[in-house]
Amino acid sequence: MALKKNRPRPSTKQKVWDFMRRNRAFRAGDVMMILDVNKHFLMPIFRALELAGYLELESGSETFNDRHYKLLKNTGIRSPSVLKKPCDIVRDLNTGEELILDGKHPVQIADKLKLLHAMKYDCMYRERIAVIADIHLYSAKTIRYLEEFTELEIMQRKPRSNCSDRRMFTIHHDKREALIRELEDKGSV
Amino acid sequence: MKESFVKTKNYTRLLESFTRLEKLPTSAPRMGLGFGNFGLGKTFSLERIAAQKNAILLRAAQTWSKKTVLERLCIELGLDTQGGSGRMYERILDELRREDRIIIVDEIDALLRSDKTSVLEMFRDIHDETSTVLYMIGMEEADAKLQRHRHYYSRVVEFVKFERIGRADIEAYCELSEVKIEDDLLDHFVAYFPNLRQIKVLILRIENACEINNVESVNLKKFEELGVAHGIKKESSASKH
Repeated sequence: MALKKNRPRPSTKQKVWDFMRRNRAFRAGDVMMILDVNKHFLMPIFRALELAGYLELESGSETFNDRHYKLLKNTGIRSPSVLKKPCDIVRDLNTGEELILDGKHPVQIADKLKLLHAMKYDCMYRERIAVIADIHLYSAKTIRYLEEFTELEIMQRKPRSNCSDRRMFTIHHDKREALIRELEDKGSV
Repeated sequence: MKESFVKTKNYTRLLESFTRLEKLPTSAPRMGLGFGNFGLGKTFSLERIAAQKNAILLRAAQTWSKKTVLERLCIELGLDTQGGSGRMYERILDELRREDRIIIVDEIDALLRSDKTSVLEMFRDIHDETSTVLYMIGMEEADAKLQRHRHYYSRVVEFVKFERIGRADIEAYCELSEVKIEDDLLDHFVAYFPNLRQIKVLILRIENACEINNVESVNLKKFEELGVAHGIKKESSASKH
């Protein structure tokens, strides 16, 4: 038999993608342990894939290692390429699709609308918004979009009370509804 | 608990076994079988080896048919899945003759049933036609079950039995703990919890309890006081795998 050629060694990103495809539901710490990668390598990849709708945070805490993720979109064997600048960009080499995650992508608009619709009371904790929106509190989506809503003054931090370590937010419904209308218009276009 | 891979004795033996198979000439049978009980590190070892060797790692399921396996192999090899089983099979052979890829089939027990013999035979055909390294992993009984397929079994030249986790491995695992595990507790783990899954759960519970109680080091007495072993069945030190 003729001599076989060896396939080039896969990149670490490719190994992470292979692991996710094989396991579908996994713990971040296990990926780090098995593939010898650290969280600084993994976190930006997971963040971009979460924002792009490839990954979903299922459970976990503030500690990244303990977070359990689920792969929602297994588009093929080639690892998506993830760029961090000028914004998170996910280039799917299997489908040829490019997701520019500048906040205007339809996947992002849908997630923002979920969170905005959940903000239906005058005063709310972040935890409550996340539960109603059915997006995990420590998901990259919750963290990023609630921060954006705070900057847009849709949410405003209330002074911390002595008896609670959670932060209450006042919701400005006029600004919230204006953004919902704007996003729904963009979504329908 | 620190996220670091412990190169257990079982992992090292399995890795060495893969390496020996790879070094065999393509004219020789290149099949391996790893088997053992749960909690001995099979899955994590396989995941690590698959990543290191860029192997195709498949988990067998009761629902597998020849066609589903061919489709899975085509996908993993980046081949077209169009056409019937015959065409997919030929594409797979062509690709595996060109490129060296190890195929690992985990949970092989699912194929060691009389109604799955045709799927098992297909893997043998692929191995025979392409000299691809084929490694099967299963539970303790997989070895005995595969012996019934004598023509198959004769091709298996590497066997790794996953052994009971020893002191050195448990000690290395305990070193990953954020809390110091003292020697008498280590002895207790070796005697009654020689299982990586159990050790991991115990260490995580110890760490949580110690954080709440502001404890930095745990001996057997403290371990029992903390009451963290609930629901975890002790294994007798006499029962060896």
